[in-house]
Amino acid sequence: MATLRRKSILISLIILIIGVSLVFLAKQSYKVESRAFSALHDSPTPNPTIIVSNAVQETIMDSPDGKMTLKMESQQQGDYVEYSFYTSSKSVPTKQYIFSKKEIVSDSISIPYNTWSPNNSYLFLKESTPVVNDYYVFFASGKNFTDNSQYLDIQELFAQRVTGYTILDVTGWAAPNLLIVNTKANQGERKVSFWFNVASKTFTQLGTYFY
Amino acid sequence: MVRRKRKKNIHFILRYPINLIVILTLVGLIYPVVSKNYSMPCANSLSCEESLKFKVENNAVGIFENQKVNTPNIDLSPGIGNQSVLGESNATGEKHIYVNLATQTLSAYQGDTLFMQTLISSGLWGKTPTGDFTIWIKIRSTTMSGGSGADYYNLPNVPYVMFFSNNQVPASAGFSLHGTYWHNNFGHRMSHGCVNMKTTDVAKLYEWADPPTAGNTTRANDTNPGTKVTIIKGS
Repeated sequence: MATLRRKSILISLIILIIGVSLVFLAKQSYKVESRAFSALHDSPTPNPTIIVSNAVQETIMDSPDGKMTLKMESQQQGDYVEYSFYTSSKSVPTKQYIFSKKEIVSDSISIPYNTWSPNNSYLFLKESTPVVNDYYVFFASGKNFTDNSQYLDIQELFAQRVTGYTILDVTGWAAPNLLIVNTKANQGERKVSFWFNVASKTFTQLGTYFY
Repeated sequence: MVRRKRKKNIHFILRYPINLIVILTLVGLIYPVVSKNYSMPCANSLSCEESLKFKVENNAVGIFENQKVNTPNIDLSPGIGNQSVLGESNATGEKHIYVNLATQTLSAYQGDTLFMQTLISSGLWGKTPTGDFTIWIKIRSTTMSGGSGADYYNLPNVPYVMFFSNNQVPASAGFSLHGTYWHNNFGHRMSHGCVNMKTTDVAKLYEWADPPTAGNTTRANDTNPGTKVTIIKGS
């Protein structure tokens, strides 16, 4: 009698353990990753190829809703390349001047794929040099920021406000005024994403890495 | 001997009803897990059913990542989606959409002819399912909401939505390709499971993909099946 009772309890326990394990394993396959740190390399942001010659080269990037256009004109002049940027809307095609800069041929400026903010208020450009990449945020209307600056220099602001990390890439916009800045810790291999808030010029460290 | 053993087994269950209760409870737990109808998490946890219906809310304000987002008004008149694309009219063969999660790229083919190749954003906070799917319904605009806390989102007027499904990912789970007005970070994961696309891209894809668009809600059927969608992890 006692043996039979012990046997039945044992069998019940075994069935219970197997069942709970099955449920747990099944749920694992649908586990939602709410915090993702990735060792994967970022997908490269495609940059338009710039063939620099004496002729004026044009590169265009439309906003995701198709309503605005950013145009880059580049022209080689000896050892330098002159870059100029203009915006226009599809409804009113008049060019709005944004920015221009002369770069030595070893450096370049490009339009990132995700240059336009979701509401078309801002855009950002990437300046590539052999030493470091920099990123500049502009009003799409061409107006200046509150401190009268023509643009916000992301590397400069990051160096002033954040320590311990190096910018790897600025990939695009998480929201109408939040730029995604991917970084790497100066000590170790940890990758961290920040939001740069264009309105407040502040950086917010995130728990999720945007890869 | 056999009859006595069978009697013992029945006696074993009846004498200790707790065994029967445990067995029935576990069957109740395990069956939904292993059955085909096990409901995997919805792509949009709060608007699971609502997102499957056509809805327009013009002049609304959405929320994404704790930020208010001005919702673009939906213009239901024929627009950019109807523009013809070079090469489309000459293409023959079956239409097929491919999504590579590693490269965050969508490619659409008709036969061997490439119709479109563009960057997308797949699941970051929720997993985008992989496998072979079929578009079962196209909806011109809907509302999507889900997440919680800092991840909460409520997005009216999500445009050009193409829901896809297969035997493992039911239609009710609400995974789709759709337009995106709240972020611009294509080429990187940003969604809760769906495949986010630039609105200009998805408008063209929406008009190209089967079933042929008929009104604001177009269901696939045996006569007008949906375009196949293959999503791979990639490398």
